Amino acid sequence: MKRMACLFLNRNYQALIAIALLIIVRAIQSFAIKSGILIVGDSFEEAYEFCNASNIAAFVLVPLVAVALIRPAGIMATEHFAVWSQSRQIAAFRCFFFVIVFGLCASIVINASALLAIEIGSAIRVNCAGVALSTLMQGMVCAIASMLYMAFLLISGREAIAFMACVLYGLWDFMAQNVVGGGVPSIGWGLSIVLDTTPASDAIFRFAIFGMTLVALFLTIFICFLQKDYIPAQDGR
Amino acid sequence: MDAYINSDAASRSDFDGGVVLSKVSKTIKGKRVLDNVSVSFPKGGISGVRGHNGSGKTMMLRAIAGLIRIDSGSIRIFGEEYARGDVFPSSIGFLIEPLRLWDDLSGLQNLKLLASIRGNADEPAIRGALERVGLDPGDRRQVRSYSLGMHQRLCIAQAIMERPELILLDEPTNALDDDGKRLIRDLIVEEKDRGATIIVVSHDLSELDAVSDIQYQMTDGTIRER
Repeated sequence: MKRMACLFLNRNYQALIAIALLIIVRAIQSFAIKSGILIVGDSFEEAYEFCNASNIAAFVLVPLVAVALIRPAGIMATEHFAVWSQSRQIAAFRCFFFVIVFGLCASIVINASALLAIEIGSAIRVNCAGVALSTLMQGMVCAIASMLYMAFLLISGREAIAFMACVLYGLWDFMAQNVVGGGVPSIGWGLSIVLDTTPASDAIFRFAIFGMTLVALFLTIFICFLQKDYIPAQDGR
Repeated sequence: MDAYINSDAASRSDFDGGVVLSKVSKTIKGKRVLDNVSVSFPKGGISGVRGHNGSGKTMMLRAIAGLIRIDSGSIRIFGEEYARGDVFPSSIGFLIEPLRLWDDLSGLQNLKLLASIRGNADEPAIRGALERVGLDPGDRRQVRSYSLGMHQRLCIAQAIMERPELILLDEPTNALDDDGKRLIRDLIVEEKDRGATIIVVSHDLSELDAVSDIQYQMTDGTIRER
């Protein structure tokens, strides 16, 4: 656990940049809520959905998750990570464990900052317990995005491709709901907002969807680690 | 297929528990990069491997480190079998290009980042490794401003910082000036004296002559003792 924490915290300047950008976005949202420019009314659910909406996730939150992931993912894709993990299987499990913890931490930061933006920006009463499930679900979405990043990095060996894959996952979810007629099923952020008003059966269904996606991506990463030849592209990756 | 099977050396190394490759083959994109390679590298010695570019020297090091999965054959390191390529040698340091370094960090920060993966090398050990290769641990410059020679020294420092039992070095004196070459040659001998088993791959014959106890020639994916 300590080693994995080091992996994220050690010299991860990109994560600091991502957090700084998130604070700026939340400050703008806080101002928007306070001034009543974008949302009307004093419903907590409305304000929360405004702060963590699909479009915000697609264009801000998921890309920021990808930015924070650049350094630790780069380390986990090195031959040193595999060799010093002692086996390819252990490397895959360490990677999986890292992205799950990373996803949950990212979600906690995202949700805490959203609640803070609402609290500071308005007289709306913040319901912390009401967003617990959303925080868990969004943690799973962040983990899915991170696993996509890792899978593409392991397969292609290029950070730019991995970054784009992660960002496109966020965009695809937004497009599925808002652009392509809204009829395409979402397995991303759109499903992750689970508030008190959401039926329990619906919440369980969403949890299962994310769980299955995580398992499928873990298997992909597991196979990537198991089959990967650590050779430069010109030697025939 | 003119692989030289050094059966005497193999049995000797089996006894010593060195690094033994037996009929190792690997094909990448239709090209046979390792062709039935059988060779043994003695434990606690410095083995030199020479050969032209593309002869398979580096690929053999990658196979020993477990970085590529071999198609057939077996690899024994200090008596343990690593044929399937799922498990890596427990105590290994390697310099096999291209090595991943982070340009926006200093040399010390880069090594600390790599060391954090396993946690076997503490800061004094990392600083010591940097000093041994002639780099200043207190140098706060980013690696992107390093010369090729400094970059090479940093890569060698990461290979030795955990005091591994097995060290694989691919062209360790590349881009180094004469003083640097001498320093690295001395360092390789010091590591041998510490008890490490070292395999050095190079096309620089004088470098191999100066340090190696035994030498091998690689040609088109095959190997033979010189």
